[in-house]
Amino acid sequence: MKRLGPFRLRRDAVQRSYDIHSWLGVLGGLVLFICVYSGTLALFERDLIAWERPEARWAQDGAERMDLELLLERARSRLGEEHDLFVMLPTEGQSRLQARSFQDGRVEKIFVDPYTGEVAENEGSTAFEFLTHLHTDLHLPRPYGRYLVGLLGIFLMMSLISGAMAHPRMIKDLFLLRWRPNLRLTASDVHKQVGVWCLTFGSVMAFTGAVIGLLGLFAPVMVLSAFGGDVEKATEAFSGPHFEETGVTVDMLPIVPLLEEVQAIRPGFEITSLFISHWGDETAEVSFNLERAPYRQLTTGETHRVSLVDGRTVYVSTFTERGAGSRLFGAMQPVHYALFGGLGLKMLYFVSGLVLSLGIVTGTVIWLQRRRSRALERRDRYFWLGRLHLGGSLGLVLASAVAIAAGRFVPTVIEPSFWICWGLVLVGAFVVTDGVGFVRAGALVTGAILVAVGVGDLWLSEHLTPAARQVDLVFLALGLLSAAAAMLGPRGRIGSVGVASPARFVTRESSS
Amino acid sequence: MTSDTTQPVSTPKARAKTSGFSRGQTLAAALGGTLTAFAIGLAITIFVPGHDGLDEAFLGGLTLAGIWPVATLWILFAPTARRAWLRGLLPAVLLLAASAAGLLL
Repeated sequence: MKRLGPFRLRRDAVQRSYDIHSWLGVLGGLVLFICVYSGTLALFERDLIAWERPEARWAQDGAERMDLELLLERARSRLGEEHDLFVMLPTEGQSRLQARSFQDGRVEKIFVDPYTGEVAENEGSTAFEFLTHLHTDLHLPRPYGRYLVGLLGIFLMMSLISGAMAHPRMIKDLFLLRWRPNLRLTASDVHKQVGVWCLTFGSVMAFTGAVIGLLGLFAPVMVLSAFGGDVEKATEAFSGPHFEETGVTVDMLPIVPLLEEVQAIRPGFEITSLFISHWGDETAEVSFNLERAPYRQLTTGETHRVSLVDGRTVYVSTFTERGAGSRLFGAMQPVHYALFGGLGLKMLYFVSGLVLSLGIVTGTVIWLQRRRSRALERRDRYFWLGRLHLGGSLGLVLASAVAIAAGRFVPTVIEPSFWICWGLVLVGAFVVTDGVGFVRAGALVTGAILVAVGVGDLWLSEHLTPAARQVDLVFLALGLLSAAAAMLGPRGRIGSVGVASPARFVTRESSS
Repeated sequence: MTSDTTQPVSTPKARAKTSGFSRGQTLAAALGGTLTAFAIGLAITIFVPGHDGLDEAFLGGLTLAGIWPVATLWILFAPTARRAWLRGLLPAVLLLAASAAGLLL
């Protein structure tokens, strides 16, 4: 029997792969798109805090910073010394010290200006933090949202594998992209090209995303197998000994000398954050989190736990000095979030993420079009499905742009503006008659919003740093690209199912 | 008229024979794939010699995420629902039994 493609599959195996790929796409395509697109934007969460909050930009270039000990004291006194405190130290992207306290599952966050010592409170999430939460938890309660996203990673992996198997002409059609004959053929070519060229990137993202998302499900298996079910022993192996608060009050050592001591031991590393626990108690500790600087490499994160009573090192947690499994595990987060290799790598991830999102959308378009010719009697069901995908995908793109604009200019309305915009586009998708025109209009409005964001920040900012100017120019460029795509992109109708009105569809049917 | 290059089947009859999945196959793939992946992950954490307990545990976890989609696809490729259940349950049950024996010994 003749075998097809680079995998030498039988004809029926190719067909089966095609079926699996199709059903995976149509069942999980929209949620997958939400996850991939929001993840693409979430790449820049840390980098854009200072852009989104102008007061957090380097406003006092050349001014002298206040003593870190004093800043930590201000954060502690504001958030309450009885609570454990997580502190992110000022960096290039985030010029202010950020402190979070944890109490009864509630998190309180403040910012401390390192030049003036002023404390800013209750600023809420930034737009990129909001989009990051959409990516990591789909705004569902923890840990269920996280598990669902982890399962989507498995879903994406299955879709990529079955897609590759269903494409026997993968090598032959490596550069085939037909723009003109009709939109459906173009969508099909784009989908295949995206699948082939993004196969590696997509697989890596799917695998690392699945590991990160499903960590909570792995943990019991790990504890059972490696530690005989002893949770305490497993926790200790991971993060060192755990001490309960005793209530015995003792004097605390200053934190900065301890920080300098740890920094001296690890000269190639940068202390990016610290965690203060049980302040004032005889079990009080500070955990310093280190990352290799300036190029953050894979699996280099370390945590040094130091006693705040006598300054001794309690535990050093590192992935690098363990076996292959631990090193691989430690590389999951840096690989998934592009935390190594700098901004250039993040831009590469960004473009790849957008292309992968496009692949998901075109896959749905192809599926809907194929259904039309196969199952005419069920046209209404596919019409609603098509509109749901259209509104859901376009709505997310537009709503994200609106959220970014709100995050920069009216931070209090990030969440409502996002949900309202998404909802309106979703409703609009069911009302309009010209689906392609709707997409073009959506792309045009998205472009206009991004251009307005870039120009608005350039024009209105009192403290326009070089970094902020670069971000503005990137938004300007993205906005213009989006608008150009809307103006110059392919025209015409994809087909009746999903993008044209039911009335038009029925007319066609009855006439034939 | 243009044609889609990924569609090797030409006649409606042939399509009806090969396309789509029964409820049994889908269920077998979802359950069997998950169970097989967990069983393989567990077996690796138990039987692969590690560094300090954590290392092999992490390897098991990583394997689980990689094996899951592959196992599910393999089960979906079974020609009948009965075969799918066989593919989904037999290796998983055998591996779980071996892991249980490994834990006990």
